[in-house]
Amino acid sequence: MIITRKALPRRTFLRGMGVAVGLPFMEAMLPAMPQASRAGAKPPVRLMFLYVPNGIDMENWNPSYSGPLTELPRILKPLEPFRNDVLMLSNLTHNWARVLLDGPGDHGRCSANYLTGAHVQKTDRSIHVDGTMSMDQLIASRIGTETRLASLELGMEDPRQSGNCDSGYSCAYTNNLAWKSPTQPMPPLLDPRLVFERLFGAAGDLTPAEREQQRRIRTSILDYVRESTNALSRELGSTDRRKLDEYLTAIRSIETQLEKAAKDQTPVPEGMAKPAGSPADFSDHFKLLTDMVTVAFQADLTRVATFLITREGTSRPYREIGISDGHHPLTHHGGKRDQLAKVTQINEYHLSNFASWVGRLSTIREGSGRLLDNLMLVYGAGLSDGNRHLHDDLPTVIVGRGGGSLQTGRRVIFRRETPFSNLHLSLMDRMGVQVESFGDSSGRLSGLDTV
Amino acid sequence: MQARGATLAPGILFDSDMGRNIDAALALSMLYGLGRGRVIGVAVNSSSLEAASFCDVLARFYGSGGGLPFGLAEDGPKLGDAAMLSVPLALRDSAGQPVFRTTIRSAIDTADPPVLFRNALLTQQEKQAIAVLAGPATNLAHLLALNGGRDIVAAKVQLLVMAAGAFDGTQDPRIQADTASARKVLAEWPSPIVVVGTEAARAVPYSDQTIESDLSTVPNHPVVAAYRAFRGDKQSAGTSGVPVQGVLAALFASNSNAEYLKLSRPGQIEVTGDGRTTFKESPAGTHRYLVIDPAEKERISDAFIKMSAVRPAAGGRGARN
Repeated sequence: MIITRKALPRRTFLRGMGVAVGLPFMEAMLPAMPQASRAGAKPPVRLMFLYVPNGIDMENWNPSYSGPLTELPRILKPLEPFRNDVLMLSNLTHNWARVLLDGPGDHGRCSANYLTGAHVQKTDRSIHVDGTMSMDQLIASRIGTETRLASLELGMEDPRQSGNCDSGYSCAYTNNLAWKSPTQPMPPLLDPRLVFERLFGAAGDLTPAEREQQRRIRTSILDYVRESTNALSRELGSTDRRKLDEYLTAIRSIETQLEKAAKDQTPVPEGMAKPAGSPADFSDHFKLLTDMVTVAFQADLTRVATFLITREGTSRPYREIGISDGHHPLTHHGGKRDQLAKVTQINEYHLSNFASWVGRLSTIREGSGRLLDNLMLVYGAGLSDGNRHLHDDLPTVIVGRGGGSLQTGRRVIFRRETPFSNLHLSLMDRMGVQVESFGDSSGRLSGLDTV
Repeated sequence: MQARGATLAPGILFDSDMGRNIDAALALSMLYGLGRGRVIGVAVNSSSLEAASFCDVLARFYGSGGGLPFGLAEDGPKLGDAAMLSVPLALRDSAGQPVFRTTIRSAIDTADPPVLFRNALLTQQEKQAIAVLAGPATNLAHLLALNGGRDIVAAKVQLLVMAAGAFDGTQDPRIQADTASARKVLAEWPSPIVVVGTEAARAVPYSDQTIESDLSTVPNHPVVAAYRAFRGDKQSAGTSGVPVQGVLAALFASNSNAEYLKLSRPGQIEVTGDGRTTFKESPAGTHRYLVIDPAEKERISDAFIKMSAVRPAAGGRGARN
């Protein structure tokens, strides 16, 4: 690596033995100019959707108020320390996920419709979403060339891409959020090792044999890039050196988690399909994947990601928190308080894992602020009331300030029937992707950036 | 919900200037009386919460509540004081509770009319829906302009019945309120249109007697309360009889094959610069207007009474009696 007195290029990689490790945003990457002018060089905004299935216990999700967030309801409680970074949106609707003329299959429709805003054809064979592509893929198609990965798709469960997963709807609908075309979903990566290699493997993909060889001799990916790390380190100021250290330590921590997962012989709970190489424990798996997203965002390896936390309609039990019943059957509680209480517990559990990640993100500096200031993490579901299969008032929170384009710390209630696709338009604007309409949008959401 | 391929009675969209005249209240009441599920979407063209609330009251009264929300034109004209809305909504029973219940408290409890109509139409089979307009055409023009709106109208709507316009050389305030939208709808609406002009409404007025002798047999009928408040205003001005364009439109929408409802030949209806409607006959035209045959007035009045006097179905009677 040749380091000059000029600013370090944003696309600098630490390279060695078939791997390329991207770098976080550092002061050395700012142009050589006065401090005041440097303020204009802003880090990019990154967007991620985190999707939970089967709806939410809305009684314990919606606060009784709008405006500034004060005390958060039970499910959102884990986000309390970060509530000034939370923008809660209410009354957004995905009309195409409703029954309309298509009969049962709300789970099949709502996941495929979530990021496409389009009608989903009822079939378990020739899948077709009647839009062009999902909004994340539209963003990827416009700005994806600026990063190593145009987009990143993650998940934690069930790789099936065919068969009937809900009343005649293909598993391709319930098991994917991202759609590259009306007929081509982007299956989420479930195996953390594959995610790691996608992030740090050489630009030219390794053959399986090379990957195996690398795996055998590897102690740490950081060993491969040690020489270029040392070269770079010598050129950095103390702040950047500390940042680089922290970043490489985070990567090493991911490797440690991966190694632990590879040795994990914990029996998989009945009803759960454990992807190869993944930790059996939900929280461990979630942390591993989100830690990798952190690094991907820090190093600007991608600016758009989707995370299907568990597949829509899943009947996964949550023995980690003492729940042996399947998630989906529980949500059809018919008003039984004991069943609903377990749904609430699962909702809380998901949220607490998300909040832990937010906590880790909140400590990471970027430019003159925090990494979180430049993120838009949209956490939500394609159903509100899972018992009644409702597709209005979809539970939605955005964590992060979108590069200063979101006025967080409050709840905004839109008018009923406001298309969820309007949120897509508004988020695409913030990603620098302007389109006139998307899905069933009727316009942009107003009031996201002003009180 | 309609099942794909099933044969059902048409679903009806109703858009009106509720509160400006008793016409819209009577018309909507008649449409709700057709039975649960027939009215699929209701909006008002003003920004009056009371107007939307009164629609909610009517839906509950007829046991048709709980579906899609009501549309309210948030940036539409203000209504001012409309006694026919405010009086019934302010009525309290002996316990101090509202006589007529509504859950609309603010604009967030309502929907943007074009989005509401689009979503309602998507529940319908091809060419299954009828739209009834009893007010300015603003909301329907916005529906046509909505992303995908025109295509959905073309696919789902078999007929638009517009209670707006006049074919005796006079002007209709419903057209004058938004001539641009009226022009757009008449020029671009993809289904056939039947217009009910003010001259037709004047030919078959709605009588007080129908209200007092038929509707009043149902305790706490919201339309009776609204009508009395409305007539209270108008009687002092010395008017008598109520021209009801919207009621005629509702009647046509619910029974377009009735032999007592005559139509003009097909042609094209346009809006002039001063807000008058003109008709030009043309065999290929998709517009017609309602023509009242003097010999059929009595049958039309009887049909008003028959439709208006429908008692709420079980599960209705949203009023606290």
